[in-house]
Amino acid sequence: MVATSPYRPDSAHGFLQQPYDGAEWRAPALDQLKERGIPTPILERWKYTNLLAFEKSGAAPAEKVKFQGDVVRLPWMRQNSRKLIFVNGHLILGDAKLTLGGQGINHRLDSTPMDDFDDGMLWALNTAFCADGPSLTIDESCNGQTFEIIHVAQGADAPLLSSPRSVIELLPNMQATIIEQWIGTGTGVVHTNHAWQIGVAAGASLKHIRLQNDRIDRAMLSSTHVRLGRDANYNNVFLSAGAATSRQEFWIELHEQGANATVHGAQLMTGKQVMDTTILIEHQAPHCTSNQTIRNVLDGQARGVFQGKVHVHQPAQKTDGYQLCNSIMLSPTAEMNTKPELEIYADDVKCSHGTTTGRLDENALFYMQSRGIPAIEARKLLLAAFVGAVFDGVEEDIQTVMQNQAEGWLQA
Amino acid sequence: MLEIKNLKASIEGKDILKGVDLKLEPGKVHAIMGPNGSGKSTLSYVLAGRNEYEVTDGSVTLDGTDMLAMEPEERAAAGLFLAFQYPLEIPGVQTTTFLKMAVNAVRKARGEDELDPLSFLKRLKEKAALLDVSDEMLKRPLNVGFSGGEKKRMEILQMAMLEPKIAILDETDSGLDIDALRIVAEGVNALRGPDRTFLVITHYQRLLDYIVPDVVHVLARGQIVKTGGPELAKELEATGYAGLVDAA
Repeated sequence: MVATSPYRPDSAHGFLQQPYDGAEWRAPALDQLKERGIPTPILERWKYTNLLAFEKSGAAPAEKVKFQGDVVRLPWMRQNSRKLIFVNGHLILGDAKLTLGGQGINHRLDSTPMDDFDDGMLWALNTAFCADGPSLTIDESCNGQTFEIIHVAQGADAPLLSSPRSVIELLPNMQATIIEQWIGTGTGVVHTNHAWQIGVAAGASLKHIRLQNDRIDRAMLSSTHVRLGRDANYNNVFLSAGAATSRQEFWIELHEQGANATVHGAQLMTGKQVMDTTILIEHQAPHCTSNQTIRNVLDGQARGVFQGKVHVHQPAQKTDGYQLCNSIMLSPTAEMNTKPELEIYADDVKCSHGTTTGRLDENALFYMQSRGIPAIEARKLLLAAFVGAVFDGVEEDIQTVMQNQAEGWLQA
Repeated sequence: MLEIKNLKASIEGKDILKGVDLKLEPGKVHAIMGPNGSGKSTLSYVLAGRNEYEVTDGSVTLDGTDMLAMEPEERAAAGLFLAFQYPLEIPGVQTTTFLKMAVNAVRKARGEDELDPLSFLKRLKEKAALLDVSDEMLKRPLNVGFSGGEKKRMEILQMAMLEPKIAILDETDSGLDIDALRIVAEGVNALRGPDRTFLVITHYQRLLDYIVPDVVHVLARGQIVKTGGPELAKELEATGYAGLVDAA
């Protein structure tokens, strides 16, 4: 459903003044942006996350720049992975044949898949300004491989907008792992507005790991669209700790029978950070399963958002949909907003949803203290275990990195 | 020796303990019996340092050291152990990891060296075998998905690993079948020794058939109303608490 009012289309005005390469294929996206603007809290789906700072930043599309860091010292996880580094949305290192830039930027772009989901504004903004990004087709030649993609947002004097677009298509029965990391460097603001197009064909399986550690003065927006074929699998595991305002959206279509999607992740926030995970899972076919497990730890005056919706279409009998969001508040001034939703039109389904928001379990804390474990250690152990539960089932090398990052955050 | 003098405690403004006096001597097993609501569990929580309870009067000293001023973990380091009536589940923390943390935290606080991993595992295996705790249980997150009996055995295993001076068992028999009760009691009996004091809190006499006490106290309405030998437990089983409660 496309909302018609009350919009503030002029909210996109700043972005529309920005230079772009004039390519004709961007025109529909620019028109859409002109018509709809940047999302504001007036919209139901944006009630808890305000993009005003992003919109008013005057960020201009980032040009290709030299990477200031050392590519070897980036936090690579696997030795034998295919590696790509993008700085502000431009390829810096890696095989150009694995990128949109190397394949002809626009030939794989899906212009407005987010129409039903999010009124398409951020997707349109990405299409209007994207320069490059990974573009992968998983066939026999690279079946089972791991692709590590590091996105660096490198600040400069003037505010920048980085708009990487990522595309992956898994052919039937293929498997792949994506490890995606978002890192910020340099002073000066680089906002990121990223979009993922993911297609997983029949019997194929994609593992998608995402670690977001952007700098604390930036907006980090991402929209992920996934379409799953028969018996296809999509497993996302994420850890978000960075950015001033982060919003990650998932729109996952279980398009054919037997598909399975899981999104497991943790958001760790402090100070005045805002972190938003918004998920729509569309059960369009019978015998599909979905699982959303989200855990949040909030300190300071942080504000967390979880909006998760399972939409079971009429033909989607025997759906198994699960959704749970647990949040622990470490500070009385933090705020958590959760909105779990089920919309069900089929009559033979199993769906559950729930959220909890509370303090650390005082009973468990006392129990551990009574065994001699100092309160401060006990607290850390309980939090690490709380967060770590969402990394269960991830391959061990990746799990260790994620767990260590989470524990590092908890120590700080 | 643990000495409790005129201990008064309340929770949310409600007085529960109304002047408890007890002297627990090394090497002895003391049992506390009493009807529901008499303050048995409160006594155990207050001794272990749960902060929801407010101590309004009295003192608790272990070999002359004031226990009430200590944090729960300091009391553990000083040698106090409470086996919980309802042990908590700690998801995400492997039992072995938890035990190692606890043992080393206590050793560190007592000024001893931390156990190296091999000595720790050796000790753990020995004690676990005695309590019929399997390797598989030790690999699971602490108490998660454990049966009632498994949880109680795990409590005694923790006690064995931490080697306390004062071991308090809070209704350890609740929810146990006869076989589990026997294993738990054997575990406790194996830990009896001249330097260790037990305080066995129970509602029923049954447990005391397996862990035979030296002294039996009756707690009613927040006070110790009677003290006697093991025969007192049998007497109570026959007559009930009614007479004693009325007397208090």
